[in-house]
Amino acid sequence: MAEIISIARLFHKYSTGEYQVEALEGIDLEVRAGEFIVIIGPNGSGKSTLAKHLNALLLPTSGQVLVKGMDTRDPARLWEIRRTAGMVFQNPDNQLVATTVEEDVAFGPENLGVIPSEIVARVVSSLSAVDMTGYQRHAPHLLSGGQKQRVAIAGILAMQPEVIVLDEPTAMLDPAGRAEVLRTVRKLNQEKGITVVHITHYMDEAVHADRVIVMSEGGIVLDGPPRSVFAQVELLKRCGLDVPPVTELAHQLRESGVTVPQDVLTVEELVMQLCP
Amino acid sequence: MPIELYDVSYVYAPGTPNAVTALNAVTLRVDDGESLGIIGPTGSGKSTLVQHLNGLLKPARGRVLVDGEDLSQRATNLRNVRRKVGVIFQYPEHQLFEETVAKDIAFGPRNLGVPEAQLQERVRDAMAMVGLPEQLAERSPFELSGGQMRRVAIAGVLAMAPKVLVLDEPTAGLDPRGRAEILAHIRALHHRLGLTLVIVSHNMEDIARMTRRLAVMDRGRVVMDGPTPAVFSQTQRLRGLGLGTPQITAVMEKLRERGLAVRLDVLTVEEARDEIVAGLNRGQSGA
Amino acid sequence: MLRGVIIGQYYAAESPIHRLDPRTKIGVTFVFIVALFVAHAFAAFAVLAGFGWLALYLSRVPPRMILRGLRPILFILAFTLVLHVFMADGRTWFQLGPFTATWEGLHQGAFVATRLVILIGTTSLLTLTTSPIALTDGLERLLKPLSRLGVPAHELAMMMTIALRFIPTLLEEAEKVMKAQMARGADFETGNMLQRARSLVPLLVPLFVGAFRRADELAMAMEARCYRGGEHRTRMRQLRAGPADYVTVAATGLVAAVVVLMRWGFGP
Repeated sequence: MAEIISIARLFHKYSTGEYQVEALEGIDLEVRAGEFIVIIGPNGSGKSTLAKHLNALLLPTSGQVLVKGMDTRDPARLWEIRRTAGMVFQNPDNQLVATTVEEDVAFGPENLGVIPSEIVARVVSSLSAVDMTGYQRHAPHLLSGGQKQRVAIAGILAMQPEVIVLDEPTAMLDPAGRAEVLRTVRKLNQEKGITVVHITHYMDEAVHADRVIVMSEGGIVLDGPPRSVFAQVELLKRCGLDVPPVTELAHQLRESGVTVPQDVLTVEELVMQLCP
Repeated sequence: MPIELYDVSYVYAPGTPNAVTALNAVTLRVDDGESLGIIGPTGSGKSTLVQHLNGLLKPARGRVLVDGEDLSQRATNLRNVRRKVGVIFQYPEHQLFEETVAKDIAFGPRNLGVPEAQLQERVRDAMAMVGLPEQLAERSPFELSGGQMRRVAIAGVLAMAPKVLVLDEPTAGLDPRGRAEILAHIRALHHRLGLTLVIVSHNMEDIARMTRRLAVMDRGRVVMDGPTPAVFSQTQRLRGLGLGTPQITAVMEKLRERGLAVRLDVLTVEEARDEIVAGLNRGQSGA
Repeated sequence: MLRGVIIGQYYAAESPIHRLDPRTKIGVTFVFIVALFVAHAFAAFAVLAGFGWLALYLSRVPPRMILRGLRPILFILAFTLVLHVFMADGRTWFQLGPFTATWEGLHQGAFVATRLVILIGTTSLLTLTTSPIALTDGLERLLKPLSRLGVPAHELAMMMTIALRFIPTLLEEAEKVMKAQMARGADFETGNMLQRARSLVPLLVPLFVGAFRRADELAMAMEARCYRGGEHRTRMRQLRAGPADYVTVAATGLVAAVVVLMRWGFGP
């Protein structure tokens, strides 16, 4: 698989008044096309700052971010970068622009100057990809949180991106809404081969990722498949993160002398280990 | 100081085609010093119920009694009720408005007529209860981190010295560390100061950790009500309502299905570990 | 409390009026209003009101919707009438203490009030039969020729869209904040004017803070979706004027001409 995003020695400093905050301290990261990556980390660990670099909403203080070979500091490629790596934000209310669902989904392609008949086709197919067909004329404020986030995802799909970056899209949703969004994102990754970078602080959302990246204080502290990352119970706790209760239970059972492997992620796995 | 709801119903937009029955003949009693959890799918009436506990909404039918006072009676002083029953809504940091943290926390008690001389003390106590350092008192609340802002908002309700604390999704949107901190402070309020707790949440792990009694709502009715472990052990029924269970409960259920004799009413990782170890030992000695 | 507030409400239905190009409807409404102010006799009002009634009939909007739109201005109507009755000079109608009501005043008052009723009635017909999007769309395209003169047509339309999108969200937020402050013992309902104005501070500050936060996030989300102003932008919805639009424009032109003739055409 080819790299679709490559980040080298990325530093980012925010300056607010006299304060200077070092938000990212030398990030190196390669994302391969088609991967499903989950980034976890406590508040202030820099994960949101990193996400905004993938879409050129922020530019490096030093270092380099390449999206499909395009340097985010190159103003000539700005729109092509934003089209290639679409972004979904945390608050479902504050990213929908228009007064109806279809107008909102059309917003991106309209900005790109796509011809009207093609926009109509893209709106139809994007809404169907997120299972929101039939909601074209609905007003966004009357939808549930999960539906709003799926419309936001459709708005990105209509720009035909290769990467979707989701910045804590489930933080404000109820469990049903969270499940809807996750199912949608996973489907887009598997069926359309869209690369996904999903940022969250819900550990259980990381279980099905290809790769989990743990951030702490502006750096990457762990990077690997979920199994090996979650085996590091103590390190995760030190970073201010939880592990899923079932992983914690497996950890404690091991310490009490029961033979269970280090890398249990799901309820089913633990049960199969204990009662084969 | 009990809160009693008798046969309470509430309808939004009554008499219009959009009328929605949000509460349907709810009878519920919250006793002194309890910790009650309320769960239910979105739209099951949890928020409407919460707003009845301090008289923000008046029942269309039925009665709500706080400390024996009927909230529908004209003579009932609602401010007095709101002093006793502190309600903290979802994302309470969105209600902050004063120039300083101290002034914002003082807003509630000042409205209740607490004399100026006592306000400072109230503010200081409330800040201590949620673990806010004193030097933040003169800072603007809008300069604080999200977790700190939420604690300022909670302190603003605690400063009214309520007997009952009602929290709607107290940890929504916080990271694990922020969540653990808030919950630890709330637990201390309950255990050390004896505050009655009512917690509404979608987070089953939080409910499992914080409450001893659990009421389940569905379509405006209370459909289950009992000790938290007992309610959570009815996993099939909860799933039927579209609700999850704590992961630990799910583990225990599956273990039983596969023949390991363990109890279902287990909520914490530690309890589960002991129960499983005991179950495995029993299994070996029996074999 | 705030649930009753509806701005620019739209009555969804299938009708020839609903199907008209929004540009036609906006233009025709504008011409109609000008004619309304040119008219200086009840007879001319009758022509205009008749034309408005025909449009209302064709639109399938129930007349009570229009009446409901008039309710908030009843007070203004009554006030206008009373003011004219007592302020105008002329033949005495009756005496009330030191005030004299005149027949000329009654005539003038009735005239102004009728104009107001027709004005509100027809403009609400415009918003009732045109969805907010179609309205902003039509406005943007009508103003487009003026953008060469520096009129920010696209920006105005975008602002209107965003305002319409966020009004319900902000109303909801206002209700939430109000409840939270009431739970802290705030009182929005009693006290004199000054006290009531001051009691709004705990409501307004969080609302403004929230609105700015939303604005910030929305701006970022728009940038992330490649928004860069009106240039290079296409629109999904194409506006197309058809035969019905030409007929409507012609009919309105005719009515306006009749009104103009009634004022200046038959004079000495």
